[in-house]
Amino acid sequence: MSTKPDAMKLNVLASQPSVDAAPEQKDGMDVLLETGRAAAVESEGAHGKSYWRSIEEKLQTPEFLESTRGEFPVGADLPPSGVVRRDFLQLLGASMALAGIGTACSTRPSDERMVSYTKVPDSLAPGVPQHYASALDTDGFASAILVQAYEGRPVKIEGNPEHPIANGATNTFDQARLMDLYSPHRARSTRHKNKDVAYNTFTEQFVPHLKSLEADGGAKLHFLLAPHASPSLMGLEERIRQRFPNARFHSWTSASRESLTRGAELAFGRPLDPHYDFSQADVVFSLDADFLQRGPEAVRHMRDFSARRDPNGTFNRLYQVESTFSPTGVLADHRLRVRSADVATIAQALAAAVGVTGVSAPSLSAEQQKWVDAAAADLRAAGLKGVVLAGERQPPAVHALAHAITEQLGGIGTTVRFTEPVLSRFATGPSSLQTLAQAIQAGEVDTLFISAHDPVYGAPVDLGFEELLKKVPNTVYTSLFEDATARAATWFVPATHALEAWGDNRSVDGTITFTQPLINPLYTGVRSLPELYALFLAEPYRSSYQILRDHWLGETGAAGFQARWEIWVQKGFQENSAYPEVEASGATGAAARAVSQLPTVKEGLELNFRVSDQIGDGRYFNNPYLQESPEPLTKIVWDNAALVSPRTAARLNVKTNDVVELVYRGKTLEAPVFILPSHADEAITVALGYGQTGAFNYLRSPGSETVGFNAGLLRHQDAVWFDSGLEVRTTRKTYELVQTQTAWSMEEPVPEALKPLSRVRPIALEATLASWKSDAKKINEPLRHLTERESLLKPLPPKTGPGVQQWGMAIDLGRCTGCNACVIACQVENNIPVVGRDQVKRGREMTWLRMDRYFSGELEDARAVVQAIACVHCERAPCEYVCPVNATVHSEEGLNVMVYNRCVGTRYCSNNCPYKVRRFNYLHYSTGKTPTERMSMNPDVTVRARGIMEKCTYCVQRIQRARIATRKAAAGGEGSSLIPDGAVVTACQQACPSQAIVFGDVADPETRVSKLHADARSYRLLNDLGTLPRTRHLVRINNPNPALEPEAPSGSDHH
Amino acid sequence: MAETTDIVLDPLEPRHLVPPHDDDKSLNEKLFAFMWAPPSKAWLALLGLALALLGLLVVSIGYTLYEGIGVWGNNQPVGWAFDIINFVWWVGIGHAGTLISAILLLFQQKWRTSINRAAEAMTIFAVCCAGIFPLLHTGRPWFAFWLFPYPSTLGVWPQFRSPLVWDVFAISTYLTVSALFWFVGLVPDLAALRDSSKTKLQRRIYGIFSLGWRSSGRHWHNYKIAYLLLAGLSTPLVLSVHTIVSFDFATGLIPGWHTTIFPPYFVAGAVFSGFAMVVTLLIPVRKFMGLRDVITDRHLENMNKVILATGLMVSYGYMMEHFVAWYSANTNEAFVFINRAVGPYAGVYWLMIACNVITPNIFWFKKARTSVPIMWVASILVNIGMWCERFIIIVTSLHRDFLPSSWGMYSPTVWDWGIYVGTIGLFSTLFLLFLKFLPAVAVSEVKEMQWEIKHAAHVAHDEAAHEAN
Repeated sequence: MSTKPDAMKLNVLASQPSVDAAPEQKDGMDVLLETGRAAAVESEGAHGKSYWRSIEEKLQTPEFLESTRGEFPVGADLPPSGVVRRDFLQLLGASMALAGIGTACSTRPSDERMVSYTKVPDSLAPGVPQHYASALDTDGFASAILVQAYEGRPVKIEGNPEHPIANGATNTFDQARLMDLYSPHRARSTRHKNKDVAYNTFTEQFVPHLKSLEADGGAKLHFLLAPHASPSLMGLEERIRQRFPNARFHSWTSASRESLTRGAELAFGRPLDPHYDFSQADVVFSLDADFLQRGPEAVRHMRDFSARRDPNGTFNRLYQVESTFSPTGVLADHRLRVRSADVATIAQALAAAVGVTGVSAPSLSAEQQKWVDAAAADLRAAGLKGVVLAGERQPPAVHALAHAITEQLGGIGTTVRFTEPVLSRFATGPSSLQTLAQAIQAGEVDTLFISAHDPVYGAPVDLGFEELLKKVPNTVYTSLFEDATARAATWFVPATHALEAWGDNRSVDGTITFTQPLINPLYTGVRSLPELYALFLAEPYRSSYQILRDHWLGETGAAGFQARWEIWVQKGFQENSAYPEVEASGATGAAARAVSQLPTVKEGLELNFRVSDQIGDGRYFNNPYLQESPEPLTKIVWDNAALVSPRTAARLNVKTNDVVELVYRGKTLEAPVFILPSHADEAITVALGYGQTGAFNYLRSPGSETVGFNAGLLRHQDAVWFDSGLEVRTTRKTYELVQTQTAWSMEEPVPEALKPLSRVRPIALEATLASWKSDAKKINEPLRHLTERESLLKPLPPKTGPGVQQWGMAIDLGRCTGCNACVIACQVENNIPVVGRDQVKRGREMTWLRMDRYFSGELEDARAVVQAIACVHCERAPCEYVCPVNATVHSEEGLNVMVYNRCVGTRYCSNNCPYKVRRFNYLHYSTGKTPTERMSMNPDVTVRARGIMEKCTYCVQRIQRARIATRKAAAGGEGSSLIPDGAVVTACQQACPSQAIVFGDVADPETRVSKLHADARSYRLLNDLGTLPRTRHLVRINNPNPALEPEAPSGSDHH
Repeated sequence: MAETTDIVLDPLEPRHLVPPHDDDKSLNEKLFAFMWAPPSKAWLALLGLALALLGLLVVSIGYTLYEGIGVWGNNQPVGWAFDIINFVWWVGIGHAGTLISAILLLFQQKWRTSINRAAEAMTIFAVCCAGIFPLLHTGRPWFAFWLFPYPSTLGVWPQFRSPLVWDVFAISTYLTVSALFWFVGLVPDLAALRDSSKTKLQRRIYGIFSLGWRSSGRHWHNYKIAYLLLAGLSTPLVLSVHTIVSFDFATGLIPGWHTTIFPPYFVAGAVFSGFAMVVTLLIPVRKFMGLRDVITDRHLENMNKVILATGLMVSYGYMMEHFVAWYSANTNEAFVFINRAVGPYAGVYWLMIACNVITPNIFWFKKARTSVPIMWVASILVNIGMWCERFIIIVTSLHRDFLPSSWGMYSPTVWDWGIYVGTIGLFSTLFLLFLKFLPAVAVSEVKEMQWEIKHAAHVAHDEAAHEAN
């Protein structure tokens, strides 16, 4: 990547103590922030603040006050508490004496301040983005990212291309997490019993309090941490233990992956983390594992798995057993829908069928038995190329069985490898919380420090965590948002965003990954976790940067440290720091024990909890991009629902949008029903994370208190993922769920009587591998219609000339799960507004790229195919000739260009677009942004006003950037003036973990996109209209087991 | 001079169109009576209602401009809805006036005389209402002038391949020619008004607009030529306007729009709805203004015949659309028609069929053709049906097109209705003011016809006397 040298130079700068993070230009926004910070000092009002007070009064010009209105919460400008005011008066004289010396008595040393752009570093050119390696943290694991920043303002997150896990891609959440940084809802002032106080008020009271805890070695000091594997934090924790040897540490996340480690422990006798290598796996059998969507390794799974979905290579086969239709299930060749509890039975049956000793076959229905037998035969045939894996929702025994089967097949070491667990120190599931709860009940907790994400909201309801907290005299909580725990805690300290502070952590394979700040904290009041840890050590103030650097200095020694450090920070991780593979064996021997530990399967309606595909376990509740990203299968936005299969819905006599009461263990919860095809019968799935109160999103529907319902209110310690015993009571209420796509399938909806007239439209095409290979000609016949152009009207010869490239795209349907990462990437890159639930309900979502999901087959056992589609850039575009003002025209490079400032908004282009990919600004969606939200805008892309049409541009700004770079190089005598293949990567392409999207020059037959266009699988959507789209889709190939699926008559598998 | 008699009396139906007893003075008094009389309570009440609706229009437009057209129900995929439905509906209504004036004039259909003025006025007001929508429906109406070809500093011209640009020309030409035609026809009557004015102000105002008309032979000569020329100019416009409006759809590739039958079918529909609107308006007008002698049952019956004829043409259009959808084997097209009939908007579709296909057939019966209450209800039904037709063409074609993933539903908001009902208010206000301040009947033409009748009678009398001698 051409930006690397820049990053290198900058990080050399960054590594010097005089300059902290990315230097920042003092443009209007920064001046504003700078002054904002100075003003915010008032609320801190700690010792020696008078120096700043006089300056800040000068800065509070009317323009400034106007421009920052609404940025600070009510109360942020309240005078400091009484104690501090007295301190202030006491110190007034001393401060005055210091004034003018230039040593600001800020809580942050002055050398950590931003550097003004009046002294521009040599490597920087305004308007040219910089890329910095950093990392985000998800449930304790680091995901390596590369952040694009303009003049010190981070605007886009990409995967770190060199990191072994990320490899340049990201998941949906990480794409959107930039918005958390700029969120207007971020907490920004320290709170004491829900009253704004200065941070120093907290330190002044808390540090002496800690001193008083030293007496008994901190026996009454407890920590409830978010799981992490950060070496520097662990170092600090170790030192805290030295000061408070009796302090106790707990850990909690509501989306714990503990069962993976425990499962390996059950199988191999010691806790291990499994790592699956799908590039090796020919047959994959997944037991409720949503491995392409969830978990810290999903990005790598997507890449490896989808690379094996090409009929020109060795095609893999996926068996998926699950209760809820998951994105992984979308790509499954065979999907068995069973209740979550029955997954264990299937696992046992498979183990027996594969021949794991000591496992007896449970009784299954004939149909299921046939399915399991076929899969077992397939797995046995695959041998060491077969793998069985279980999901984090399944108990450890199922994981142990999965490992036993893989071991039986010989796959250990090939398709699955084991390492030491990354999150090894504490339990992260309910058991850890249980220990803490007992301690609180016993009155053994005086001081509790919480960095775990919102346990009051997320902890199992039977724990009564909110009540427990009341029994603790001193609770300290730190978080990005003022959530339920913040309100319940004695002290709340707003946290820094990952892009605001230094840190380190391990990614899932153990690679030590560094978090590098891209910007100084947007608010003075926020503190990073290391800074808070430092309070427990009674040390003088050290910044997160110093803490991190000192840690690694101590860890690796001073010799050559600077060079090492610079490479780490520049790359974003320590190379070869991944945990080594561990020999693991004995799983088959432990299989019998695993079977004995399988929970007994209870009958009755099952309640399933699922971490939301949109907002995680609730930590992204305030993220509008994620709230508005459609749930991959249901396409619901801004809500969660009680998902139920059509058959069970019929039995319960409910239909979509009916509100039901979910009654479980005496607790009642109202939820709207959504009927999802292929959901397991006798099971209801609810997504966690919704229904939070307090700081919640401003784009929720007017009048509603929150978004969705809090499914966590039914979650119990012994049933965090699923349990039987749910009762459903119907109510007379209804609630309208909002979807971005209401059509189910490609079949035309007509009444029964007219069914013969209905047909399945050839839109998202699928074929089976066998038919594709054996009878390609026949299969190709319907395809020919979609690929060839037979018309009396010959297409105009493309305008070509020297140096003119023709851009095009290929989208492989066979690689797409519909995870939305590309959608969010497109939104962030192109400043696409979020419009809110109400506008989506009116059909006005603005996303340029959308995921069309179509079900096919029987309603009960439907399959799904996902088709990503944005503007296809027709060579003969129907939108162009109808625009009365020439606002949408064709570029000589084949782009269908939208001229925003010429558009008058007749919407004729959108009406005439057969792909319906154009989006219209019906209202002024881009207005009303807070100053911080405005900072998130990509300066290379126009922010559209009301009344204007917009659509995918093929990331024209990226093409132009690549063109400038190429021409500069060509002018310097390096290479041709044609942009080389791969130099332009669209935002969607870059984000896609499975590389389903390829972009490039279609005029050059050697480019990747040209080769994909030439592939037999490629077709033009709606080819018969003669629009000649530049984006072509590739037929999805499925690889069903012939033993399970009698070969369909050729041709009929085209939908 | 049997020829003259033939003009007045249809040989197949030898009845007088207008009872031959009025002289010029009594005609003046009779036809201007409504204008010179103080405003009646009924008129004031109606004007008050119309102004209230006009106020609604102003508020709705104001709010739309303030917030953006997002206050309407339009969405993706239904980019056009009430805005364009109402536009096409009003333009269609605006067809009858010119057709009656110009084409019937050229065909020397004498029965047009009593109704042409009101119909022309209706045309102009309807086109005014229609004109609001193309402007307002744009996202940025303040830049809508970019649709006009003018040498701008931007160096950009409109995109002449777009039917919306043709629309701009078609509608503005039609409005200009219709207004001119109407005004030229008004000149002799304005002079008559000037001459019978009661106050100085009235005389001044009518005097200015009567352009110094003194009823000289030369004036009449020039007037007749100008009127005929304008009639000649208007005639192709009657066909062109709705043809071009239909191109907005026919040139698109959306199934349900992309149809070659649209131009004639739109013109027939326009005349159909225009005549229906004339009937709807003239029935109360002739009752309350006491014009039964001038606008006779005979006029109404003739108009009903036109409604029947154009209604059958429209039905044929529907039939062909459905037939071609099937015969073309274009499955997307076929689905649109199935979806119209059984889809979520089936109610509107069947209302359209009931109003446009079934209703006009009652005019096969003379009893229905001549019964004022029946024809009034039928004419209103036809107007509802024609509105439904535009809804069906625009909304049902857009809401489910090629890719099911993008399908959506449209439902109007209160502002959609506000603007629609508001334009009816604008139309009514203009029409009521017209009735009050301008002659609703072409008085000079009625007089001319009276003279022709009298002349024919004289000739007949003289000939009889001569033969007796």
